[in-house]
Amino acid sequence: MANREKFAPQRNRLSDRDMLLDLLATEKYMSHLYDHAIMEASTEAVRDTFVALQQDEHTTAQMLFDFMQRQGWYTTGANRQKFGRRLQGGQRLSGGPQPPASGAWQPRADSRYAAASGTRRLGQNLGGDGRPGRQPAWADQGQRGRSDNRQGWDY
Amino acid sequence: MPHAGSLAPKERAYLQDALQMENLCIAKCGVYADQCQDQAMKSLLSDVARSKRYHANQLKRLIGQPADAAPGRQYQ
Repeated sequence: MANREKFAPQRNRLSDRDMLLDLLATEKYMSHLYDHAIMEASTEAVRDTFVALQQDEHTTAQMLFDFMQRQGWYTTGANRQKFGRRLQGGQRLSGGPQPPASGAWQPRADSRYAAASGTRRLGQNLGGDGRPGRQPAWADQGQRGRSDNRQGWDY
Repeated sequence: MPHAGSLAPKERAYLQDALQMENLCIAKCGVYADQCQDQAMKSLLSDVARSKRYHANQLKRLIGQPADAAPGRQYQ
């Protein structure tokens, strides 16, 4: 039950993971802020301070990230295999739609779109001489002339 | 140590912006440490808050405000 409280907190409370995500987002923002500040600083002492503080922000963000990864709350591509089962096992770590039951990403929709968008003739210039990638697409456009070239971009 | 008058307006604006964000972070760490159940996370949050308090003091020193000697929770 203690585990459940971490993921499904009481009303109007953030889950532990959401708290750390929020802090991590704040760190990210502050790192950007310090980066801009370093570039804008004109006094040596101020710039040195900003550099030191930004280094600290990086360290803090690393601490937060490491903690979240130890808990399995932050999955990168590298460790998704390890934590995938845990994340898809019915626990909702935060709000948002549930992943599909199959869990696998389906590329079919995008491929169908690419196949159906043939009216734009995407990539028609790439393999013209049967040796794809040999020449850039614009290599022969100087000789073909303007009218021919325009025909190629008939939307 | 540079005194307050030697800062460029832009630097002062950045310092104050940063101080505001550091203070917000300290406040958030305090609230989250109160709410969370995990003991390891509480100690992580207190580590973060300590580092933020140090940051805030350094920024205040540059701006020219007196730094807080007592490490307590502070809003603004």
